[in-house]
Parts: sequence; C-alpha cells; structure tokens
Amino acid sequence: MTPLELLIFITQTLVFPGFAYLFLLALFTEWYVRKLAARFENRLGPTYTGPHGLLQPLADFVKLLFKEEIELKYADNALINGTLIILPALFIAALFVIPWLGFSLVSFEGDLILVILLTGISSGLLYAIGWFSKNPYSVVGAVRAISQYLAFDIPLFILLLVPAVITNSLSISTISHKLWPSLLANPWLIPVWALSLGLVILVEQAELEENPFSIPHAEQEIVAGYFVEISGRRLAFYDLARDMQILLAGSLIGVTFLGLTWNPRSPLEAALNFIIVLAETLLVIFELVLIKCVTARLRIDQVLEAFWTYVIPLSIFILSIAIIVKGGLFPWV
Amino acid sequence: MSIIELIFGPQHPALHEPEMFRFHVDGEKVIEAIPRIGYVHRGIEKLFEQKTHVQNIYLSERICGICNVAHTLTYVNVIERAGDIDVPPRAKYLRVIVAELNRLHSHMLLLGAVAELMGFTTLFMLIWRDREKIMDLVELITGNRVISAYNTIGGVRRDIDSDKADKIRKVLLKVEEEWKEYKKTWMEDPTITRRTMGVGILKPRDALKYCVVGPVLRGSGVKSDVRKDDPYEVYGDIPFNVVTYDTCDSWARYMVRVDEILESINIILYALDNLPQGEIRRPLVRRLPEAEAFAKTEAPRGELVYHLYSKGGFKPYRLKVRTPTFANILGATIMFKGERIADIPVILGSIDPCFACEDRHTIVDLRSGKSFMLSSREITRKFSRGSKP
Repeated sequence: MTPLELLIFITQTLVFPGFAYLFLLALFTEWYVRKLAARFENRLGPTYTGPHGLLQPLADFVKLLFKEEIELKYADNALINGTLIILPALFIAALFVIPWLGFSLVSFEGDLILVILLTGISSGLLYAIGWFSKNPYSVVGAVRAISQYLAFDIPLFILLLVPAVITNSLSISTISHKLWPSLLANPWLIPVWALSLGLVILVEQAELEENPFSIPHAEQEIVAGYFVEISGRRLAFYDLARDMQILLAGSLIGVTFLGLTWNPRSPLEAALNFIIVLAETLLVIFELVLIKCVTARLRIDQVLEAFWTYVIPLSIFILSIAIIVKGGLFPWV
Repeated sequence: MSIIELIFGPQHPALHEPEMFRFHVDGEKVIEAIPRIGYVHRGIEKLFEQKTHVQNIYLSERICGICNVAHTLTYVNVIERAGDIDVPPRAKYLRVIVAELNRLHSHMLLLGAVAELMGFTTLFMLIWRDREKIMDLVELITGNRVISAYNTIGGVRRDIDSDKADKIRKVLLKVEEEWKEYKKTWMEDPTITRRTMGVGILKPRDALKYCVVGPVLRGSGVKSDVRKDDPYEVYGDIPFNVVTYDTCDSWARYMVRVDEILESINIILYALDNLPQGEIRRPLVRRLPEAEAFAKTEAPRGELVYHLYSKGGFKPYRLKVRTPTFANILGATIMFKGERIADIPVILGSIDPCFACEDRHTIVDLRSGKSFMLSSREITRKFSRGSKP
C-alpha cells in the first residue's frame, strides 16, 4: 500500500463514507423520521433550527452533551457508560459494510452474517442498559425487549438469507450488484422476492421496536422502558445509536432487497450509485414510519404469538421456496 | 407464583390526574384492583355553603373543566326547582345546544386521549384537531373556549342569531362527515380492535349491581339515559336514539361514545331548526325559599346528580354533588379482574375517569386511628333536617 493509498483509505474511513458522513447521515435520518411522522400526524415537526428544521437533531445532540447527567447510586454506572459507547460503535461498524458508493470500505464474503451478528449484540446491549439501571420500569422494559428479541431476530436472519440465496452470495455488495440480473435470469424468483420484501419490512419494524411493536418502551405502560434512567450525555449517545440503528435498518434492506447498484468505474457512476442507495434507504424508512403512524401498540403476548405461529414458519417457507426455485428442483422451472 | 402489589399512580404517564390504584398481580394477570381516591379533594361542597346562589353557578362549573356545562346546567336546574323559577323555551333550547356541544368535545377528548394511550398518536392528533372546531363553536356561542359560564338562573346569558346558527350548521355537517371516517377506524382498525375487544368485561348484571352510569352502563347493553328516562329541558321533544352496545367490553364503551357524537350532532341540528323566538332569561332570583330539590342530568360521563337543601336566604344550607366517575370507579375494579397489566390504561380510559370531580375524603378518628365513611342514612340525618329521603 503506497502512502497515497493509505491517505485515501484514512480519509475514506474518517470522512466519507466513514465516521463524519455516517454521523451526519444519522442526524439527517432523525430529522427525516421526525418530519415524516409529524406530517403524517398533521403536525409541523422541527421548523426552527436551520432550513425546515434540518439542524434540529444536531442542536439536540449538542444540547444533551452539556446537560446534567443524573447518576443513580445503585445503578452500575460504569457498565451503562461502557454499553452506551459500544452501542453506536457497533452500528457504525455495521454501516461500514453498506456499499454507499456501489462499493463499501470493508467487504468480504460473509459480511451479511457479520451485520446480523452486530445487530444481535446490540439487542443484548439494550437489555443490559435496562438491567444495569435497576429501575422497576427499566427492568420490565428490558425483559420485554429480550423476550421480543428472539421472536424477531430469527425471521430477520432467515429473510435476509433470501436475497443471499437468490444471488448465491453472502457479501452485501455482491448481493446488491447481482440481485436484478439474478431475478431477471429466473423470473420465478420474483414473487418469492416480493413476498420476502413485504415480510422483512414488518420484521424490521419489530426489530426497531416501533409501533405496533413499541412494547419495550411503551410510554403509557412503563414510562420509557429500558432507557428510563438515561440522561444528559448518555441520552445523546443513546439517541445517536438509535438513529444509526434506523439508518442501518433502512440501508441494509434497501441495498439487499432493492439492489440496483453496480461496481462503479468512474466518479460519476459512483455518484449515481450513491444517489440510488440513499433513495432506497429513505424509501424503506418511509415505509417504516408509515407503519408506525397508522397503527396502535399491540400487547406483548399478541406479538409473540403472531411471530412464533405465523411469521417464523412463513419466513422458513419463503426461504425454502427460494432455495428450491434457485436450485432448479421444480421440473417446470 | 407469588402475588405482587403493583402501585399505579398517583404519578403515571397513563393518568392525567393524580389518583392511585393498587393492583394485586400474579405474573401479568391482575387479581384485584383497589382504588385510592382523594388526592385532589378540593372541599367544593363545603365552599358552596359559604357563597351565594349566584356565585355558586361559577363555582359549580369549576368542579370539572371538561364537562362544565353539565355542571352549571344541573346546578341551575336544582335552583330553579327549589325556587319554582320558570325558564323561557328559547333558553331551554339554547341550553340543550351548548350542553350537546359540551358532550361532543368531551367525547372527542376522551377518544383522542385513549388513542394516545394505545400508542396511536396519529388518531390522537387528528381527533383533537377536529375537536378544535367544536371548541371554536363553543367560543362563538358563549364567548369562551372551555369554561363557558353560559347557563344562569332563569335562562342563558347570550343569544344566537341566524348568522351564528348557519355557521354552527355548516361546521357540524363537516364534523359529522369526518366523524363517520373515524367511526370506521374505531370499528375496523385491527390494532385498535385487538387491544379493546374482549378486554375489561362488565356484565349487565354487574353493571347494575355496582351502579355504573352513562356510557359505561350503555356499553354493557343497558338502555339507560337520563335524557330519555327523565327528560329535563327540552330533551322530551327532541328525537334521538339511546346508543347501546352489548359486547360489554372496552370496545363497546368506546363505540357508545363514537355513536353518541353522531347523535349529539343531530340533536343540535334539530334544536337549531326548531329554535323558538322569545326572550332568553327571566329576571334574576337571588333569594330562595326554604326548600329541598333534586336534579339530575346526563353529563358526558354519565348521570350527574345535585341535591340542594335550602333554609331560605341567599346561600344554600347544603349542596350535595354526585359526579359520574364516582359511580363508575367501583365498576372499573370489576373490569380489571383477570386482565393483563398492559390492558390497565385501556380499561381505565374506557370509564372516562375524571378524578378531580369525584374525589371525596375519608373521616378519620384521630384517637383510635380508625377511618370510616358516613352512610347515606347518617348523612340524611345530619344534613336533611325535617325532610324524609
């Protein structure tokens, strides 16, 4: 690696499409979600800071950094702080794998599994925040979160394997490049793909704990759930992690299920790829916010029953159909 | 599994007023609910005795801000019965119009707040947006958005002209159209029906046994409405239906309110079309003879009762108020039994609780540390001298 290549790599890691870019995009995602939800609910949303309130999430972040941090005597504060530093780091690591420019900073065969693993660890960390806070509400929220977690993560993993099966690859970049060529080569896969896309958005909604699955932090039942004791700088980091999580959900589903990118040969093509990936991400987040705004919260027993009896078998069924069709096991295909 | 005592309130996001409930829970299941009332007892009944009959109009509407018209209406009714005061027919119709507008905005407030309790923020925002139109109408007629100070002894304080009547008609027709859409949402939305159907059952027998009133009683399939059973003002002349649902669950209690909004709009439109001409109030009567009177009305939350005992003069000797939530809160303890912790806000919302109106206090004997309540017979003996209950 020549010094110039090293310099470019470091710039990419720190600026674009690395830390600075992901930080700003996460804040933009928060603005987008807040504004969309507000417009769906016949409100205005952020308006004052910046044009159309674009800088409001940044202002909130900076303000929270300066706010008083209330440390509970009986909570494991060191563990909570550690968890809240690791949490955004996990999501940033996962976001490095997304091919923002048609290619990603880190890409290897199997990075899809890495992203799923990182999101799994993050769910565990959210549970830990609630447990270490030692508040009755946060413990109830944490227990609710962990009991949902299995029911959501299994179908999410299975459904993310559907595009992997379609494209014969476990690398997110390759899946994104080869999705449409593979689908067009074997049109029987298109209904399977459409079904899995519809289901994966529902499952991702549950993974993000938004309505109708906002049970772990149901405000009217258990106040704020697992992050009830988080304030000040900790809350800033928690909010950042939350924005990163939404961004990851949108971009991962956008890239793996909508594809449409290719390996760029010129800066112009890279820019085109960038616009496509961003549009896909915002489209998926739009769907997620839409579901959030048109539903009421369900009860935890109803959700668990629905997921274990319907969603998990259905996702296994979709994956098997994808494998069968891809493997050419139907004589008429 | 051992039984845990879960304390709900007096400060909780699902409670809009301070009140405490102690739930005995076995895992997620509620075994028993014990209400503890009295956090916002304001001693208004005692204050009534120190103010004149005219001042008490304005005190009575401060018992409850949301259903303030129902309170003044019942209060002026009880005074008019005690003093045998005649009310002009136009005033009676105007009273009905404002009372029904009050019912409209109260039901809309509840249905929006309950949507928010279930996490359905969009529905909450939209319903409260449309409620604002009703508040504007109340302001147009009475001059105030919330505390209207409209009813007075012997009539009402302001008249409406044909311009105002046309504007009310126009707005109400628009609200009716929008409300039919909301009704569809309440009937068909899968998340709402899943959260409310079959939750918080109150059988008709229990409903009658625990003396619940208003939409809670009608949600259990019992056809009972003071406006129909014991018509006051001009409700006897106005055609309307008493809405009942017989599924006896939280959903039924919400649907009763959804349908009552449509009925109320029709009542107002009918009253506007049949508004008689004439004066709107009689000269004010300040002094009452020695008399005892009783009045009840159908407030948005149910039957509201005022009982007046006057010994003559400018001030009442005793004025007893029974607000609907006080009657409904015992019925609610039955609804909680066997339901889950997550259902508590939904069930509590379905009785449309107004805690500040219903708060009473317990009498405690400091020497023995015993707390006790006075029975109705003791109260009669103490306060209603010379007349039999």
